[in-house]
Amino acid sequence: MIAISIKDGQLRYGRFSAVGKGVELELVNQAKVSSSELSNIIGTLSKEITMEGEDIFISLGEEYIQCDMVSMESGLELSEIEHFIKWQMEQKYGSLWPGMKYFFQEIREDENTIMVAVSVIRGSIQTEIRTAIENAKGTPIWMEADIFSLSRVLDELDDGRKRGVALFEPYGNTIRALFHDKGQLAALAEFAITKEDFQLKTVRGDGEFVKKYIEEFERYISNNELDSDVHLYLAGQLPPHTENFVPEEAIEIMSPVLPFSEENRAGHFAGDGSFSSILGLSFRSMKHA
Amino acid sequence: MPDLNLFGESGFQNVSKTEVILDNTQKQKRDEIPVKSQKDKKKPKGEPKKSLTWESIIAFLLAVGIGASVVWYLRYRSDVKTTITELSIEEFHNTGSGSE
Repeated sequence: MIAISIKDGQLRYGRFSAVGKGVELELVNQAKVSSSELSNIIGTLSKEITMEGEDIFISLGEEYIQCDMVSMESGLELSEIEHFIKWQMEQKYGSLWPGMKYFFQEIREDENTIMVAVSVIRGSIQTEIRTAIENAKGTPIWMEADIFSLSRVLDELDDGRKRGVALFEPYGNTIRALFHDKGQLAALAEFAITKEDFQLKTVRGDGEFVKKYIEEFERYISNNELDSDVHLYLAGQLPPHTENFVPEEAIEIMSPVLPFSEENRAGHFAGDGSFSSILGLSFRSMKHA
Repeated sequence: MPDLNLFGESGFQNVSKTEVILDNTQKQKRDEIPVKSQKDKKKPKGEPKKSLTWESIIAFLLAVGIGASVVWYLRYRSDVKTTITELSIEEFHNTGSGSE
């Protein structure tokens, strides 16, 4: 099996095989993407790592797959939910909408509302990737939004404790964040990193939960209450000056660890958080196996 | 947590439920096989079932009844003369009621 992550101009990939109930990594690497065309990226990669006969799992950043979290009243029929989502997406994408494909799934439900996760991709991109993988003689098995690969990793990190957990992924002067509430994805957010603090820019999903989480986390930092119900994981590195307002001990830096079996390098691969998407895809491949 | 496969069918996806349905369908198919074979063993050979004969007779009588009704109706209808003779005003006055 091969996992491929393409986002923010970076290509990361790993080859692994199923061992018992887990996976064993055989090869892992990253490179800067040389082209904006996904077919070129896959074509070049297939010269580095043979895809022939391999099951391919791929995750793409938001420059290729757009994600949304839509809330609506509970008790609606599936056709009504779909109608509402289509209407919302039509408003959002306007003239681009006819060429796009959408996928959705209900992820949370309470007495009054349900929350639906939506992924949207241009039909031409979907076809381009599938064809590129098939040309490389691989089998396209799974393709998802990168943020959902990370959500799978966050779920694994929470390990069934069902806390309020967040995963921060710094990118330039911003932080992409995803929030889990009681083991379920609650919101996707973006923060701006300023000199003094993080400023919330956008929230998709349960904004109230994000607000409560931030309040709770600030209380956690100021009182240093280590038994707090909130927890923060970091994939990547924050700029040095942020230590002034987010103490290092308040954050758990992610380091995806996988068994590694490449010759002369047997042991464990402990990549930095930027390889989290590969880890998330490998968790998905376990379900598939 | 979302489990959306963009290589899969677009629209609504529920992977876990789909997998359960597939499992159940396969299980059901496996369970169905012996039931089918038992039915095959019990299948009578030769004469058709009597119930079928009674059904045929009832159907035949019903068809005859409906046919007879149609014939009777057409015949009855042909007995009723519905020819209308129109008279001109003059003819009307000639054959008039005689009250004038």
